[in-house]
Amino acid sequence: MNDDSISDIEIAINRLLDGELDPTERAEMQRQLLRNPDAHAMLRACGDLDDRCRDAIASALAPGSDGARSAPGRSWSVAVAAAAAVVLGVVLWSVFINRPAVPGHIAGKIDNPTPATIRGIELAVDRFDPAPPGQVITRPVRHVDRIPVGLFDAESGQVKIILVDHEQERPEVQWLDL
Amino acid sequence: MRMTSAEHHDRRSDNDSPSAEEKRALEEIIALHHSWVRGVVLAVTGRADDVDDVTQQVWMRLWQRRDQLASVTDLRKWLYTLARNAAIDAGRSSTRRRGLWRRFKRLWRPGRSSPRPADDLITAERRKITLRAIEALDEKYRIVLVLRVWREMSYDEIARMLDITPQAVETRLVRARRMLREKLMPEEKK
Repeated sequence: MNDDSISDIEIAINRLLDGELDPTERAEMQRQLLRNPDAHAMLRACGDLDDRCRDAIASALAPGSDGARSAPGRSWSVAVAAAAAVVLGVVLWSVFINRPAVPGHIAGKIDNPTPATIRGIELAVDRFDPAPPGQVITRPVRHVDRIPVGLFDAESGQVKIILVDHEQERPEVQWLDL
Repeated sequence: MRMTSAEHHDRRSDNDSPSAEEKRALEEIIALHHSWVRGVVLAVTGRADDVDDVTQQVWMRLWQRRDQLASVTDLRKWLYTLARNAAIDAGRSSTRRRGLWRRFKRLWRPGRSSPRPADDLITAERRKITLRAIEALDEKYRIVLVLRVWREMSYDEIARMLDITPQAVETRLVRARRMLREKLMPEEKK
């Protein structure tokens, strides 16, 4: 068998793992596994691999978890990120401090308005702090995030942004009108 | 200025005003589908740091296209296309800066990134290696792997979503698993 070929037993093992065999096929497969130690080892390896992948993906996507992302404080790029963030923070602070007061704690800027869609909205909000459902975020400005797409309502002159807090088990949708 | 969506809605009475019903419908869609959509975003971008940002864009695009929802026959397939396109667009734009922000946020919030016991560090390292191996796969393999292994979708469900045959799903899964085994479990070989 060449490198790209897929054997019947490999297909059958995958189907077994994925629950794609009917009861008769499953029984036959189990009989084959008893007779074939190599196939049994492959099944065990595939099962372990699935568990490992599931765990890694879940950790990467887990709400509020750093999961398998870069470990903190152990990479030069983190130091660069921190330095860049500090510099950016100083610049943004100087921008925001000179900006007219905005009701609440949200400051918005429209870079390039078009009739239907705008791009380049900068929000000074902490997106991930919990806020009561249905209300805009009211926490003090803590960091700046960039949200590339918002909806511009020509009639009201407002920008509509939907924020979904992925750090909650059930995502909390927040509607912001600037 | 700032107002709640309800206040905004009350001020407007024209037909293009988003109704509370529309918002509820959107929130329901997000609640039902956010998990696998995030998986697709991860699979397409290959970068966990970008998932939150790109998924936000997916929901914004859904909101922009909400008028199309009535004519959508297969919502999963439609959302998949939306998510994949958003992830591809994110890949074209500068994503490095967002990654830096995420890392900074973790530094800035030490509670979420405090030192872990040795076992946790080993687990984290193992996860990182696994994720890197998944990221190294071609996108067509990553997507079927994530949807099957993580969301446990059937071959038929994945096939409908990706507009390919169940046989193609199966072949991609077999190859994805084989490539990962060879990379992560060299002692097992095939």
